[in-house]
Amino acid sequence: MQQTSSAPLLTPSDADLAARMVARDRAAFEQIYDRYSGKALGLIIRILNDRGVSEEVLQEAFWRVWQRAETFDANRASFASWLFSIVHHCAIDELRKQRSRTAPTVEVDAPDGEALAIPDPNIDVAESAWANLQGDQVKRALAQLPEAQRAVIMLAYYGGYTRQEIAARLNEPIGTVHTRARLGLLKLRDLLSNLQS
Amino acid sequence: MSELTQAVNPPEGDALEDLIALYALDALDADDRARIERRLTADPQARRLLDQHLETIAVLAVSEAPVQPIARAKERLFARIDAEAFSRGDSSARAPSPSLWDRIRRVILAASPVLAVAALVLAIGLGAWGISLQQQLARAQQEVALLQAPGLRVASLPRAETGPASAQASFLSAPQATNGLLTVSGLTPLAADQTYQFWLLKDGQPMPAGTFSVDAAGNGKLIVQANEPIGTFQQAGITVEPAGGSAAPTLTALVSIGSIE
Repeated sequence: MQQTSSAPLLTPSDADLAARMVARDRAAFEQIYDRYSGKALGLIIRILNDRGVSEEVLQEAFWRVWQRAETFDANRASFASWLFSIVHHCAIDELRKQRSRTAPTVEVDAPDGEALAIPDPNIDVAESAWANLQGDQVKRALAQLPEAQRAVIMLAYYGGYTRQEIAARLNEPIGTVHTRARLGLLKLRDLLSNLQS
Repeated sequence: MSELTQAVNPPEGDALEDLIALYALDALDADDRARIERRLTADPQARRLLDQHLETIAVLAVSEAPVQPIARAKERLFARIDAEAFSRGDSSARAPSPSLWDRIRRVILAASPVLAVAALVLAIGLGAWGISLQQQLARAQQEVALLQAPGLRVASLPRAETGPASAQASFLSAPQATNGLLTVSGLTPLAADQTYQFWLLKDGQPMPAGTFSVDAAGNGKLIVQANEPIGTFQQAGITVEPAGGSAAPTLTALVSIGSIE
């Protein structure tokens, strides 16, 4: 791909910023925040569907990133995957807390424009998340996954369901859910690398 | 024996790999996560597999359309970080000076026996100061614990018209907690017969929440202990009062006031 901007030459890499963050460099962490907070908030809103709560979760997630900076190991994983695993976990934590307080609901628009919360235990989280995916490459890769594997990944990653809950929702043995999660991730990795190459 | 325990201990290749995939997707409950985490620390191969899955999953996150957070979210986050650094004594200008205590201790240990006895006498003389350092350490630990509270919020208290132009104040607290941390900077050091006083306001009624002083640079902090959750208060403010504090605020000497919701 042709590079059309000279700015990246002056932009510190994730690895540089991460190393400085581990050394408690506040300015580097601020650059990390500026670089990733938008994507992180997009992900949290996708999971929680509530802008206000998502902003709070975003703050908590980046606080944890700062607190756990020394656990990042550049030899093991990319900085983005480490950061997003923390962000995702914070969002799922909040979602499960909310679920433990209330029954599953689905939001619909009322005639006056206000959202109404209507209990709907049959809402199809997997399909909803699938329909709203943004990245073309990711969407194409997920489209090539067997539907059963895709459903498990969607229910877990965007729906925040545990393996037991997924088995109950899909009415499948838990062992089947296990296998689909593992095979789904392995296949997704292959598909993404094929698309990228 | 639970299903996971069977899978993890002893390991059964495929089952453990399944559980690592589910861990990467955050599809395990807290107990299962803890068990897998123990395994991951001791099994580099399992850790590598997890890292591969996390790389794959990160692509889902990176593909999300970005949503710009509100500017205040960033301010709150970094105010919290600064407050933590302040509490840990990271800033040499503001922090207590434990390194001086360390230096005296090193002198005692390194000196000849005669000098050591003399140094010990000095140390006994400084006993009260040592206790003071211990109290400072206990306070710092209390502040750090407070800053770890889940749902911690940071409220900036705007300067009042009667406050110094450089006055800045932040109040950190979790709504369910009954304690919080006030940090201030840019305040004028007061005469001995005066003190700064912090107030929590509930339905417009001010309740005294502690007095504090500032150092020569104008920095200060106060651990606030309320009788009820901080979330029940809507506002907070700082005034200048006679030493010892007042039962009601002197509104003509208002320094800062603002919402903490």
